[in-house]
Amino acid sequence: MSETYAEYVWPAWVVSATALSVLVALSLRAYRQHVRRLAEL
Amino acid sequence: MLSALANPKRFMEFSGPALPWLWGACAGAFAIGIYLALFASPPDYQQGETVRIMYVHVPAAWMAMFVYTFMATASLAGMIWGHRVADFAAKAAAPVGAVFTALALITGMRWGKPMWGAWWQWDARLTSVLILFFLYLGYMALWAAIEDPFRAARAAAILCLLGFVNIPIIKFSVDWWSTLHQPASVFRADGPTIDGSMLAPLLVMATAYSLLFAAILFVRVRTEIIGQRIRALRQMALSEDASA
Repeated sequence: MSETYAEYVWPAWVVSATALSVLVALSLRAYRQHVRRLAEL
Repeated sequence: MLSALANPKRFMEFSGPALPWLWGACAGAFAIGIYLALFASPPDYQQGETVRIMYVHVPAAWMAMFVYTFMATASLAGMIWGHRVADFAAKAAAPVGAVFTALALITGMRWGKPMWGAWWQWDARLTSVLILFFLYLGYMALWAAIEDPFRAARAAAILCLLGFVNIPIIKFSVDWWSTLHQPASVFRADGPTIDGSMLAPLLVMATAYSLLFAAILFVRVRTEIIGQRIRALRQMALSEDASA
């Protein structure tokens, strides 16, 4: 792996993948919580 | 089609079965996009391997502007026709747009350091995108600050529409001012100036980002609609308690 890859390319991809995964996870968690709350009412 | 989806019941009926297909298409597009971007496409003759940052940076920047344009359109529809789903859609899209904008800024900085020799420059394109990020934060803060959802939707819609002036500024900043940022190389009147081997991964990744936005938006709008039902049911329970 070249120095450019390790220093610049991978961090950009890892940050993007992490941020988008967290966004998906939080959105799905909020949805499931709302579905559960509605079922409880 | 869009006016039909403005009805919360119809939106729930449509989005439920559509979501598994959207997630599937999104995963497929990402799989192809990642393969093309990281393995199949060649390094650039000037940028070298750093060009691979473009495959996450450019789609994020496009989506940052597209999501705000979507929010402005939804806000306008909410104000004119009073569609609750339009207000929910604008609200639901904001955090997604903020993440895309943050990613455009962060990945741009990671590209800027080896290419320009600087993480950041206060040039027109970078500064106008930073303003877009603050507009997203302000929009979300306004929704959070006003308790009445109807008043919150109106106030946030006004802010969103006022902030929309920033979108053409971002788009044309590279033409209007002398900036470090290169001018458009895909959406041009005379066609893209990028080689096909690099244009393909860029467009596939942009498709993957668009599908991801659609899937997250559907989930978040469904969450808002269910939230409204919960509030209405609690209100009804409180009124029944008060009258008993």
